[in-house]
Amino acid sequence: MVPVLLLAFIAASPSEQYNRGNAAYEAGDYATAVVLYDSAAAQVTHADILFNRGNARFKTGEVGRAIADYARAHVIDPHDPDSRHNLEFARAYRPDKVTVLPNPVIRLLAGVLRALSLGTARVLTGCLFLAAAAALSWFLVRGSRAGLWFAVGAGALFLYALASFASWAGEVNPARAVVVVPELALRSGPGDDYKDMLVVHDGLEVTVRQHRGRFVLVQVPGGQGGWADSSAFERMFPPR
Amino acid sequence: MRTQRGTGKSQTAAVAVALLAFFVPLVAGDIDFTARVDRTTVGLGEQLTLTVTVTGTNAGRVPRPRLPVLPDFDQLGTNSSQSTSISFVNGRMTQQQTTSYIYYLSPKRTGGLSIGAARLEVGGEVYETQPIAVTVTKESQAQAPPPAAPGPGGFWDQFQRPPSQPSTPAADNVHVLASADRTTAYQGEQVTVSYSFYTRTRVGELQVAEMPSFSGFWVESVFDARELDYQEREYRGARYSAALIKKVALFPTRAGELTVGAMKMAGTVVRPGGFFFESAEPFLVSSSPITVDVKPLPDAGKPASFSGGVGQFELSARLDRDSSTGGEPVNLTVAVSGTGNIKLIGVPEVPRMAGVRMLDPETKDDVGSQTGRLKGTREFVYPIMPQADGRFSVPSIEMGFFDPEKQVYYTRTTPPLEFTVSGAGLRSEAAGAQTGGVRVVGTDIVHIKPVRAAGLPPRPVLAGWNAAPPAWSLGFYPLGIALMVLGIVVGRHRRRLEQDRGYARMRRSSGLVKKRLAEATAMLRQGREADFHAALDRAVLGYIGDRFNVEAQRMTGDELRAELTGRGVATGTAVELLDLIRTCDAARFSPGMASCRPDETLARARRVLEAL
Repeated sequence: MVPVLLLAFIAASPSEQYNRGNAAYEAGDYATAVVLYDSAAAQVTHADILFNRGNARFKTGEVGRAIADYARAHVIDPHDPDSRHNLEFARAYRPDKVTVLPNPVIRLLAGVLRALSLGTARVLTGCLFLAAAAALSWFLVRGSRAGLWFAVGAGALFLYALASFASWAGEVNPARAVVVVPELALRSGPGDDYKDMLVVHDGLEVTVRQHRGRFVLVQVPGGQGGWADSSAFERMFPPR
Repeated sequence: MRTQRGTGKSQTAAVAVALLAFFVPLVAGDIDFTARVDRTTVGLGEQLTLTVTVTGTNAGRVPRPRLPVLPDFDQLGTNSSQSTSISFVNGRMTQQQTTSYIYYLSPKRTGGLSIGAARLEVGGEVYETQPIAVTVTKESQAQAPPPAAPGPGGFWDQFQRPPSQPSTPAADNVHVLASADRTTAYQGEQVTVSYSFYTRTRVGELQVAEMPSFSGFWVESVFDARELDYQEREYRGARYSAALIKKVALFPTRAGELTVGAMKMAGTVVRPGGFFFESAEPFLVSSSPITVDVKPLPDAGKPASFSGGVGQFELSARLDRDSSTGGEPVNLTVAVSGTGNIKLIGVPEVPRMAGVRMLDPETKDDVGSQTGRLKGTREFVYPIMPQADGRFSVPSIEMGFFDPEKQVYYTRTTPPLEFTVSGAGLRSEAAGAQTGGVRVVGTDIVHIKPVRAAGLPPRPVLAGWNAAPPAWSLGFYPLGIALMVLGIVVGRHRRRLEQDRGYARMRRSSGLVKKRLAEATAMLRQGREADFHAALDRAVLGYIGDRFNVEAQRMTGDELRAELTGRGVATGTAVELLDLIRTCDAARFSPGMASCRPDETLARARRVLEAL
């Protein structure tokens, strides 16, 4: 990348960075597109920026980082089928296959709970709580039956929004990370001299359990785990 | 399993005996009580029959004798029978009943053993049998059956000798015979073993007491009898009814002398017991084990592709598709068909192919044994995962087999198979769903979101996982809780006002007294002293009534003072209040007698009410 060009990018607005990133992507310059999208994403968290950056990363062969971006875009806008499709596509492309047996009940429940986005669920939970409390208070003061029914309805919706929020809270767990190097050995201890226990590959989603210096203990799907350098992972949902 | 039963006649006889016994009084005087064994010398593990007999005119009604403790014997079973004989002598009927209790015993050790005295108590009299001495030897005491007449076709030669069994009548009449179609075989060659039940007497219950063991063999069941299909057979010169019980195909898995285990069958035979009765005698018979001499497969001429197949087989291979798009797998099926140890054939070696990844095969068997020989197909299905585009060829696959009849190895080879791959590395979710004119040839990620000439669209409300919720939304929860608390407090107050009259009067007493004092003040200003005192009196008594929820205007001075002091009002305040009321009354009804000025009375009233 040309440093001068990057300096010019830094001064631009997120929208300009985004559009330039798109132009670079269309021109087949995926690496430049990634840099431009990075610059835009550093200023604002937007589903389209993350989605396009995921595409650019996927095209450069960074499957793990692409998965992280698609997952973020999906959380921001869960109703966008494109981010969901690309997320599943990238997951299918990674060398380490993680098979999740289809459970229609869980799928239906997840679909119902994820009908609200994370942000909507978060705000709606507070609003509905206030509405239910006000209606209940009205019922207690005036004895209004309508107030009672309104309180029950608002309370039920509050519980639904709360469950939706809890569901999303599990999804955006800050401990979630993805392997971003082609191949990685997970060792039995936090160091380079420990015995190799597992070999994982780019795109595998893991859960960070411990930190020890520059090493992290991660758990892979299925329960096994091991230590590796933290630079081999990217946090999918870094905390604020 | 269908068995022969014959209990109807014995049930009828038992009912007849019971009816006869019911009308005959029990007399203990003419009882004959004896015990005997069927033999006094018996081999260890063989069966001995102890028969305890009670005979008398009323023997059918005597209690069951008590057998002595027999620590040296196993009691295998028990049985009983009754018979009645009636005779007429000179026109007079004489009836004799006999009840036999039969015990089947098996000695536990060798040497001289003793069966103690059985005991019987009838009508206060005690009867005992004589002890019986039994000699138990290590060797079998069973009588060897007579040699069979030599048959013309040697049919019986394939059967093994009948097992050594107790020479009870039952055991002599029933047999289990095991036969093998060969006793010399190559490792992996089928040996068919049949187990048949032979009987020449009526059989009651019948069951397999012990299944044979087939250590060293791979076993495939060919036949298991659900119903016994008896056919007439000759065995050792006698006619028997014979039924096939079980037939298995055995494949030796190692060389050497292997033993096919014996099958044991247990049951009862029905024996006639007299004019009316039948009895059931248990038996336990066993086939003899069969020794099979298993030869190892020769090393000479063994092909490298030999994977354990012994028999007559053919080999074929096929692909489930000739082209792959989007990285969809191609399934290679290698099928081995024929007769032999098909389930013991190992996975064939498929040569490696560049550009594809071959996964471990899945094995499917379709095997039957309708002809007595195991025959069928074993398929090995290899999923081939294309890794690159192009045209691929599955090389010829060779498998070696051994023909035990010709005693030679032979090989079978499949022709090469070809398929093409396009879009490798991309997973096709719609593979196989090529319907109509639409043909899915590959998938990819969804293209990027478009350029925004007017800038990025506004962010959805609080969309980011890392976005801070707005401050106003954080206030919803404490506000909601405060509203609920307020609702509870206010609601409670309202309900109390509606339900508690005293509480309601007390709550409004302050407002009322202020209003009345204001009225009294207005009257005073107008110079209406009598009305002023009346209004002041109403204000004071009204306040007391509302404050304490009493009817103060109807109470005497003493009652009022007692009520006030009872409610915790200070005595001085109560006295001053009563004095004030008296002053007002005096001013109202005796204006000239009033000793206090009205404005002082008003100020005094305010003081007293504040003190309340």
